[in-house]
Amino acid sequence: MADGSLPAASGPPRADAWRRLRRDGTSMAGAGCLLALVLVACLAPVLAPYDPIKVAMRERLQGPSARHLLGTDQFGRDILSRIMYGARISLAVGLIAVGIGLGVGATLGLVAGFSRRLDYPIVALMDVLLSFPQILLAIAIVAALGPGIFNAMIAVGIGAVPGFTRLARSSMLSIRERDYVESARALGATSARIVARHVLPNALAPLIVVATLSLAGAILAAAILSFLGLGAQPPMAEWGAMAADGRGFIAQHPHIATFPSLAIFVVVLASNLLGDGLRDALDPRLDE
Amino acid sequence: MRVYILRRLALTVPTILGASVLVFLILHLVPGDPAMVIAGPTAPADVVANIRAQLGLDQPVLVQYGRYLASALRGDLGRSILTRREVTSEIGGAFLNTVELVIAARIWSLLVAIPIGVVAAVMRRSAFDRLSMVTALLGLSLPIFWIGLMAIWLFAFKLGWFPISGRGGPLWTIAGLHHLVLPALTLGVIQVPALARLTRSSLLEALAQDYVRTARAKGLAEPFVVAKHALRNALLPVVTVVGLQFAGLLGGAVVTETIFSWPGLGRLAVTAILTRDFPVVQGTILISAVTFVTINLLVDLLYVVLDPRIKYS
Repeated sequence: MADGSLPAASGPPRADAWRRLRRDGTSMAGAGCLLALVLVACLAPVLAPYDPIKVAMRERLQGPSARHLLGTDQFGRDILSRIMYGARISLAVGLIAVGIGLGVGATLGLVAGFSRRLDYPIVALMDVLLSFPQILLAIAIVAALGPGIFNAMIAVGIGAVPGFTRLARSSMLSIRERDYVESARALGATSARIVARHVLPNALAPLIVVATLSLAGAILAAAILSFLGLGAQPPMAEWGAMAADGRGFIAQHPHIATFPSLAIFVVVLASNLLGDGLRDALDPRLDE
Repeated sequence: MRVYILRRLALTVPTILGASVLVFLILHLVPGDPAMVIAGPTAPADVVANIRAQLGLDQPVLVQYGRYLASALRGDLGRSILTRREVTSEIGGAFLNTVELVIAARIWSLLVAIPIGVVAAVMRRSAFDRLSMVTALLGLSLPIFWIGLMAIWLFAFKLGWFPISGRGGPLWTIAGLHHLVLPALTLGVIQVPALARLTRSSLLEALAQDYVRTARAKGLAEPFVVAKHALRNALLPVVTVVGLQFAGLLGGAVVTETIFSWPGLGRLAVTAILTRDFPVVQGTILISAVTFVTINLLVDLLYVVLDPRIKYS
């Protein structure tokens, strides 16, 4: 203890959390599903039976068959292949958007919680951002930057910032008052060391849980933006945009909108299940 | 309590001001020259200059914001570039249409969610409880646009019960109600899972309290204990979430209105973004933010009235 550090305290040991998570069937199913999707996304060029953007008008508007397992869309493109390639976009958009939200949000939150001078301006800015419903904030940002998948990703990421900021700040405020932080300070640890060694490890668990749960929200929000025509642009194989393509054919060919929507459903459900499981595993007190 | 209310009221002013700055900045975050973006790449120079002057883009930014705020406070949000109509008159009708849709969705989702939550809590760990909570989780993960499209497919095309899209007229007419059903159903259904889950967990917590045990010990009938003692306390967090969920409803309304061609604020905003009609974009987003802030304020004030135990200083 001569270096002023104390064992990072509180919260169950990681091994315990991992064991609890592994025993939770539904969250492992969620994790398995996400893993499978990552594999499909990575191996899309190998797995996909057809080119996802190649138009084949003779094959248009076919229902599911042996030739096209999930049918074709109004341009004759194979829906299964498009869903496989779409997994790349949806997963990347979700991960990057959450990354932006977590990176920017947690940093701002930790700064706000630690610095009394910067606390008020940061909290005030977050209150302003929170005065927009999240999807409208994203729409406002896309309005400025222009429609497109990259801008939609930034917009969804910025929309997620206030939530992470608030969470990191409140964790910081409560951890700051704990005895072990006080002890570390008394032993002469610097602020940077206290944050890195004591605050971050303890603030991390709730941030990870919220990040996993936000992944579902981010993928859904990006799909909604694409559905509205504000995200991915044609001919990109993005699930929300594919569902929008199916809108005009919903009476006769509901499969065009349904299969990409089900893909969104599966990935969102899987992230929710994993997030719930992580929450219970990392903090059993939150159970029920 | 009066001090609390006044302070809470005062707090909304900087938030709304901040929102107005953000909305104002939308035009200034546009990459390149916004006047050029609006006019299109092939527009002649005098058209671009005209748009620039019309939007006041030739002035210093602070002057522009000052003018924007001053006119907004007078109820003037500029003119639509596309229709040349005043933005306020474009928004007025659309806003009321969105309110109609959101309130209808809110009412039916509460009427469904609270009983489900109550029954699930009272019959905890029963098949109904498990089934309703699993359904809730599944429902939370469904994209709203698919729910809307499936509602159109089933109820409009296959069964022919309701019209495909549009608004049929005022709410008090048969056509008005007829057109409202599918959009309201779609928008409401996404709110049910969260509300039912919250009602359930909140009621479970209330049922574990000492006063409930006391009520039972007095020999009160169980339905009476649940309704009179537990539920009244359990509904408090539900009230908060009902308020906060208006954010989700306003967001969901954007999608629902687009699918059902419902002439509301969300559809107006999306159309304006796609046509680069910035004054309308700014107006719709500003009005949504002000509405949302006002609802949050009302929820907070309602909380004071509903829960006298909370001390406000």
